[in-house]
Amino acid sequence: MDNFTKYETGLKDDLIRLQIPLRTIEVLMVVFKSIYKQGVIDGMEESIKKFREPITEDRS
Amino acid sequence: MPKRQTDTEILDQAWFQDMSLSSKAIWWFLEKRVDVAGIWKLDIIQMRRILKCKINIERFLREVNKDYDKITGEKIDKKRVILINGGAKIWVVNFLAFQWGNSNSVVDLRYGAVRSGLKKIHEHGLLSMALKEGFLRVRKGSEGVEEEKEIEKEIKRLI
Repeated sequence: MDNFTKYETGLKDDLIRLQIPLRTIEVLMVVFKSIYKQGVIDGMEESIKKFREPITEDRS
Repeated sequence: MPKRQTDTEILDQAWFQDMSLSSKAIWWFLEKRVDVAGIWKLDIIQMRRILKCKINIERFLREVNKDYDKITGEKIDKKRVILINGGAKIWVVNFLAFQWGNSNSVVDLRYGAVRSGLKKIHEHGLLSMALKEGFLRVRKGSEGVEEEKEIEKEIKRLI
């Protein structure tokens, strides 16, 4: 299991919590995965962590 | 100001290309005016005032509810918009699933808009038809697609 897959479910849940439409989430996940796998953006893993932390803490 | 999703590929679809200009205008109008469930109380005067064209709902329904068989090319019926409440209201049947669902028309009860839309569909007595005809499918989280009775129970519990 790659790092992106580890974050995928949590990311989706966070986006749903933000009430982002499912169709938009599908597109976002494809884009995120593509960027992540190609390593286009350095530190993507850190970005995902940073993206998730405040939402998870605030909303749980 | 609410924002709604739109399908850019609609321009490539034969049923849309075949519609008259006034029917295309009505479709455009409904995309903007229907409520979260896809329902709008018919007001022909308002529609005519905004669109500046003759409004023929019967013709619109004839044109919008058709499609072509992908293999034979024959004309087939396809429910996209129907009159409800004895013709007092009009319903864009896949509106909720298109706006809030995934690409398989599955909507998730974790969305406030979905709960609100399903409640309206239920109140209009259209939930059974929506599920049977496949206008939408419902799930809650990753628990899978729900049965109608379960959905009704959830709607009553959540709203």
